[in-house]
Amino acid sequence: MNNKPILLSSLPCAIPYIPVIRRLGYKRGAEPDGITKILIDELSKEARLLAQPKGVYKICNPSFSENTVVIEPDIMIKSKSLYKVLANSHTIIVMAVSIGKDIGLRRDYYLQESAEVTKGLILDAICSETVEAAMQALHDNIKQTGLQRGYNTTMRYSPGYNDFNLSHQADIDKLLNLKCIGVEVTDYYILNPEKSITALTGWENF
Amino acid sequence: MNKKKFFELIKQKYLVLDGAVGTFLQKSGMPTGVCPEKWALENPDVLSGIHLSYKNAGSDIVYTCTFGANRLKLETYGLGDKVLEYNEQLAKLAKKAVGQEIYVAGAIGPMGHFIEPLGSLSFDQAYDIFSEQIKGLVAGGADLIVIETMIEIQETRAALLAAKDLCDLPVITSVTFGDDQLTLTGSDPVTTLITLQSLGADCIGTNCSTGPGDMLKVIKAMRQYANVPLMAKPNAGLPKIVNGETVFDLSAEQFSKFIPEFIDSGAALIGGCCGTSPEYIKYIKQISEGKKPKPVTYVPVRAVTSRTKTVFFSNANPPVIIGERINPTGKKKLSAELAKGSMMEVKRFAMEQKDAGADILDVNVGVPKIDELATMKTAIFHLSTFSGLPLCIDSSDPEVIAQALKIYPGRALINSLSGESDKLKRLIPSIKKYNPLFIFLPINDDGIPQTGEARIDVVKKTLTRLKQEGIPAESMVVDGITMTVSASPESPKQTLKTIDYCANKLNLLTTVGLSNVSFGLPERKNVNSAFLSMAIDRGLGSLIINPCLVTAMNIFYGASLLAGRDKNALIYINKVKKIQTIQKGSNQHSGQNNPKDLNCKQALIQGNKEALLKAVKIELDKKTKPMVIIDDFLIPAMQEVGAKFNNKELFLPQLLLSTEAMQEAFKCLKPFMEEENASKIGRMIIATVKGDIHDIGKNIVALMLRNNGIDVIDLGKDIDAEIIIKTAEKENISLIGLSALMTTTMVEMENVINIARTENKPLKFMVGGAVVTPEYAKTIGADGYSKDAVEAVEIAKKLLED
Repeated sequence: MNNKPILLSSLPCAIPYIPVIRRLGYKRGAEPDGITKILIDELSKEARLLAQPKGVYKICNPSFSENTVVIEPDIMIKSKSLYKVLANSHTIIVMAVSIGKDIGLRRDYYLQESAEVTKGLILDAICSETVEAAMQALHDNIKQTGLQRGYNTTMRYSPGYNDFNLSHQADIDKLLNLKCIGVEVTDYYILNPEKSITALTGWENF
Repeated sequence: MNKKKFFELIKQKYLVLDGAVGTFLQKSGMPTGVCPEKWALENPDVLSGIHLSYKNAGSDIVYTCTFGANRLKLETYGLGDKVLEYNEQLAKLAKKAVGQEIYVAGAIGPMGHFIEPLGSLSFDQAYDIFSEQIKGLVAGGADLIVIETMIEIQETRAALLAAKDLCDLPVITSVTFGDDQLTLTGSDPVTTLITLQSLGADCIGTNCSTGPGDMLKVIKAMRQYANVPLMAKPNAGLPKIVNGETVFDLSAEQFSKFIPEFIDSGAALIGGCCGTSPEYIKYIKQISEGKKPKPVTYVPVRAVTSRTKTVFFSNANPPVIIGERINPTGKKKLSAELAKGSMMEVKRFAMEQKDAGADILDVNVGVPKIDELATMKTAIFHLSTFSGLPLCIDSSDPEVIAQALKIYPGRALINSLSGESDKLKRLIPSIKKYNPLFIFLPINDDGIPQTGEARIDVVKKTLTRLKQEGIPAESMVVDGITMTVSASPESPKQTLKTIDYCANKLNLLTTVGLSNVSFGLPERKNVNSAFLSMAIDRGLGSLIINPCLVTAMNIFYGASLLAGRDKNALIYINKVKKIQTIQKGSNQHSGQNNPKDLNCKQALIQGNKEALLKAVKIELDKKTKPMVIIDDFLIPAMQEVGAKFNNKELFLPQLLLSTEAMQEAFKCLKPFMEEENASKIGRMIIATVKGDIHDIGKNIVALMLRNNGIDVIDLGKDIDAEIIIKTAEKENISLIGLSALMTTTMVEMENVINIARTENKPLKFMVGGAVVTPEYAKTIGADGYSKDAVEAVEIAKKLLED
């Protein structure tokens, strides 16, 4: 069976307020002051207009050897922690999301050209949480599809977590052709645009 | 079986469907990973046996084993060219297995790919993929078509349209809802029902995903608006693993306890999905045997839908608000953006109108010389995912309306039809096919009738014509046609008369645009608002308005309350609360912004740029020396901000706001200062190392350093080691700050330091970044490490002093 990557050209764009303020440092019930709140509100609106959340995923039939997940014959990931997450999965779903480059350019404008660093910082936090929410939306889709087929879906696990080496971004690119959502993997295995996430999840029997 | 026979049959008896097939095939030896359709055809006795066992258990309809027999799914097994053959053969196999006494439904499942804008397939591609499968099923003799286990409304629409275009067989659409009562892409049962029913599904229902308990809620929700029979095919409960195998938690007997309630809720076709077997079907047969389904009574559904939302028109509620702003007439910026293909303004208008209370968004992209059809499609793609509100497709070109209705993922409103014979002729086919709600302008070939009576006459004549075409009167939304009162004093009365008669005598929906009425008058909002409240009193069903107009909207909620269309004043109270909150928020904001109230220190601590500049100017006017302002007011205030940040009383955004304000104050003071007074602590270079594109942390550190009197050369991000070292040499700088966010790029910091050390450059390095630790900094030979921007200032000062 040879599955193709499935493209989601428009994921829901939810900007979760609480995680945004937490990312900005407001924890344990601390609330932003009036000016910051207004900035968060204005920039959230701007982010809603500029974000273009897209996703792509591929359903793969893995095999396993010791501490190694073999996604396709030529794509092997040696990682104890990833193996632990996926060892019981009969199917692995490789996922990626991005919210596009426009919103990042706007953030850079605040940080560099207009020297409104606070706005840049807040928009950056909003971007981070928006791309997280987009990945969560994609993972939730996978979970629901899994449930329909009678499978439990594992947690998602990304390159960079523990011993899951960042260099595997290149493998994910090979599987998903990240260009289709406007993402490239740099020579240093960084995703560009920056607000992009890749992850693996698995379907296992209940 | 034709549709008539299907509806006759369903009047006489409950139709029992079959149960699970896939798990049966697996139990009969089908290996995992093979194409089920191919295996079934290679093992015809196994599949025939399954069909027969369901017939013997009491099924009136069995499904063909063609769930995945579409081109996209078969291609994954390299069998893309087998679509027609497999569908035809599998339909024939089922017919042969069960004989003439019961029926065979040709089953169509999801493609596994989404239609744009959610995915990459075009609507036409999806339509073609389903058409191919339907042709095979029809050729194989299927008695009806069932589009099942659908997770996306647009995909279901494409399959339904293909089935309706290609055959006269009854079409069942069966959608899968999660335990949150939503489809995968967020459609609720009522929205799903209204969308598919208006598009002509003969029977609507649900299968898979949940057990019978949750599925009952779906059927009950659909029942209220259903004008077609409903079907249900629940799983045998929820999946769990027993001895390494997936089983479902309800036995046939437990499952059967739910069947009477399905019957009571109005499901006329009942079967089973995952985990069920002939044993389960036997129970359904026994319980429904000899009973007649409740007849379907026709309910006029006055509603439009988006993918995720239904908007009802009702006299018990305030009129529906149709936001009018996405229309390039008189809007230069929107026209220019549409002309260059940008949807930014469209999205901005959508957001503002939604936030202001719009229920539906009117979309008009009629800019001269643009490809209106392509632009309308793009606008629908953007808005259907961006705002979630149903759309009113507004065009004077019938072809644009037809194509827009095809790709719109719900039941739209269109703007507009009129009594002009050419318009009727060109728009009626689309209205028949897609059954949208439509705004009707009571205009005939002679133009706009002057009197209400004449307009009503046009409405009546058109209703007769539409009835002949099978278009229901409840789809019509009559526009009263608003003319300018200053030019034609009688005209508002005629508009109101038209609305009144259509709403109250003809039981039609109505609408009106406001702004024309006051053209040429001063303070137009007064006239518009008065006209609006009069129209609401006459039974207005909806209005076309800019919902961001505060006066008109306030009158709208008040008039709706007075007209008895806001029970217990709940809507009015909620809206007023919202407005009060917004006003309170802006007062608070402007209070903080009031420069009069704050001195330099207070303004800086609040991070209030405008107030600080004002306070600084007051000090300068008082002849306070710039260095005194800095040393006595700004620096102590900034130190307080820093201390509060360290104590977690203030947070990073506030720290930065204060820092930005201080920078502005410096700029303001600079012209008044002697050069030597503005001395710096020292100079340094800062850069994000090669390979790394993350620079927000570095930018914040640079800002804080500058704010503390350090002259910073910021080289930017992704900077080569050589450039960093050469710049230091050229600028005669001895301190370098390096930043990196990723494990893959932090090693580059070591590289920079190594080069400097090998070449014996007298340079000091301080490092930082998310993954950098003090230990790592030490290992690579850095002279300093800081965890955040405040600490970075201290470290830099120390290293510059040494």
